[in-house]
Amino acid sequence: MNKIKTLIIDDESLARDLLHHYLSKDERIEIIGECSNGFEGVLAIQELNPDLVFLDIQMPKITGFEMLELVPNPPVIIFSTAYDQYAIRAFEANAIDYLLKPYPSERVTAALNKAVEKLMSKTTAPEISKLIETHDEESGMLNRVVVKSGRKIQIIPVESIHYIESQDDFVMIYCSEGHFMKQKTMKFFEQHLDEKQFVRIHRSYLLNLSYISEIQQYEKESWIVLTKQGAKLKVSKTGYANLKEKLK
Amino acid sequence: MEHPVTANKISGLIYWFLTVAIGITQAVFNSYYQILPVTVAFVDGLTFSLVLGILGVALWYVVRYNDPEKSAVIQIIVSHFASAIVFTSLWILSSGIIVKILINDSLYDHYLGSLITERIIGGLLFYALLVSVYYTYVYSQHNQEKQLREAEWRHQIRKTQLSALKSQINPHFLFNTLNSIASLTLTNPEKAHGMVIALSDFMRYSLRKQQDDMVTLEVELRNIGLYLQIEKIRFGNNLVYRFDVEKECNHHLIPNLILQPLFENAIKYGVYETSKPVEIILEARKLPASMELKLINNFDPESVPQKGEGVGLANINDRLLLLYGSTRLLSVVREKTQFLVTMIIPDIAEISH
Repeated sequence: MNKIKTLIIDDESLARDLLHHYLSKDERIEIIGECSNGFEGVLAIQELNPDLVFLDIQMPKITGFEMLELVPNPPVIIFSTAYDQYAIRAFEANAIDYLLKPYPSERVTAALNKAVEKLMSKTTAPEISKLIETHDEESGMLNRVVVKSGRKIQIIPVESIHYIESQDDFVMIYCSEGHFMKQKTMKFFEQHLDEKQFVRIHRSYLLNLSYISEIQQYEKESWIVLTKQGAKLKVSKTGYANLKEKLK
Repeated sequence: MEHPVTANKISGLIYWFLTVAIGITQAVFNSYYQILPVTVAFVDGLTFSLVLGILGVALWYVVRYNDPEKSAVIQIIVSHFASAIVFTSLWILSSGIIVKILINDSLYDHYLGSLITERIIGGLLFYALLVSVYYTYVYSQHNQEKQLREAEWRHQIRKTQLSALKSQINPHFLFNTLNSIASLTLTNPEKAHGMVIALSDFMRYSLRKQQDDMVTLEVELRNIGLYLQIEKIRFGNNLVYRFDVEKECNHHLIPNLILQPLFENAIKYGVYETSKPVEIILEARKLPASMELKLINNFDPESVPQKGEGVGLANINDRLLLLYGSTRLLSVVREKTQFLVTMIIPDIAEISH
C-alpha cells in the first residue's frame, strides 16, 4: 500500500512540531507539507492533493471550517483543537475524528486507524459536508463569508454584501469586492444573515436593505429594486410585502 | 438586645429624671391641694415614683419575653393584661408598705386609702405608656438590624458581581499553552521548564484574585508580563510588546486583572488573526488626581473578526462603574490599522462597604 500523503495545518509551530513528532513514528504516513494558516491550507490541498489533513480550527484570518468551505472535494480530515464546545458537539455525529490538545501519541494512532479505514472504503466526502452543515447550524449569525476566486481567497464582511442571487445549487454573492460564487443554499443565507438587514424580495434574490436606491412599479403585480450600484432586481408579490414590512 | 435604660447613660438619666419628676410633681400637688405637710407629701410622692421606676425597669423583661415576631398577638395581649394587674398591685402594695413604715400618721392613712382608685388607674396608664415606649424601641432596633443586614447583603451581591466581571482564565489559552509545553518537552525541555513556571505563576495570580481587589500597577504588569512571555513562546516574533510606564505610576493602585482582558483582546484580534507581527504598547501617565493607561496595538485591517468584540470591554466598564461610580473612564478608538484603549484610574477608589 502507498503511504498516506498527510498535510498539517496549524498556526502554531510548536503544535505542528508535536504532531510532526507523533506522525513521523508511524510507517503508514508521509508528511507532504505544513501550513500555518487557512489561506496556505486551501492552496496546499489543491496543489499537493493530500489523502489526509490534520486541521486546527482557530487560525488567523479564516477558521478550519471556513477553509473546508473553499475546498470542493476535501480529503479525510482530522480536527485538532484546543477548546471548542461547539465543534465538539458538531463532531459527535459526523467527524472522522477530532483531537483535543494536548493529546498523547496513542490518541493520534487511534485517529489514524479510523482515517485508514475511511480511505480504504473511500466514502469520505459526504461526511465532511455533513459535518460542515452541522457546524453551520451551530454557528448562529454570520459575521463574514469566505470566498475564493481563482487562487485568491477573500473574507467578505456581511455589511458589504449588496445582494445574493440563487443559481441552481449554489449562490452568487454580489458585494463591494466584486461577485463570488459560493457552494451554499439560499436558505442557508436567509437563516444566517440578520433578517432586519437582509430581505428575500424574490425567489432568486436576498437583498441588503442598506443598498436600496429606489423601488419602481413595473407591472400590476411586479416591482423592481434599483440598487445604489445600479443593478435592477425583480421583486415578487410576496417579496414586495416583505420589503414593505421591513421598511416600515 | 440591651435594656434601653441601662444601654447608655443618656437614656438612663432621662428615665430616672422623669421618675423623680413625677414624684416631685405629685408631692407638690398633694401638699397644696390635700394640705399634707410638705415632708410627708415628699416622702409619699418620691416613694411611689421610685418604686414605679424600679418596677418599670423590670417591665422590660416582660416586653422582651412577649416578642411580637415570635408570639401570637392574642397571647401577648393576655399576658400583658395579667402583667398589668400584677404590676399595679405590686406597685401600690410595696409602696404602701414602705410609706406606712416611714410615716406613722393616722391622717396620712386616711389620705392613702382615699387615693387608691386614682393610683390603680395611674399605675395601669403608666404600664401602658412604658410598654409602648419599650415596643417602639424594640421595633426601631429590629429595623436598624434589618437595614444593616440589607446593606451587608448588598455589599455581598456587589462583591459577587465584581468577581464575576473579573477575567477568567481563558480555556483556549490554557490548553494551547499546555499543548505547546507538551511539544517543547520533546524538542526543548529547558524552554518547556520555563514555560511551566511562567504558566504556574500566571495562574496563581489569576486564582488568588478573590482576595485582594486592588493591586499596584507594577504587580499587575508583572503578571501581564508572564502572560505575554507565554504567548511569545507560542507566536515568536509575531508578538512584540513594550511597557512605557512613568516612574510614579508604578505604585498607583488599580483593580486587579483589569488590564488582563485588554491584552487578551489585543492578542485575540491582533496576533491570532494575522501572520504579520503585532506590537502591543502600554503607556502609563500620571495626571492630577488620576492615572491614564493607554493600550495600543496594531491589527491586520483585512481581518474580519469572527465574533463580536466588546464583551470584555463592557465587563471592564461595568467593573470601573461599580468601583469608581463613573461610566466615562474607558474609551476605545478603532483606527484603520490600530486599536487604542484609554483607561482613567482615579487616585482614590471609592469602595463603599
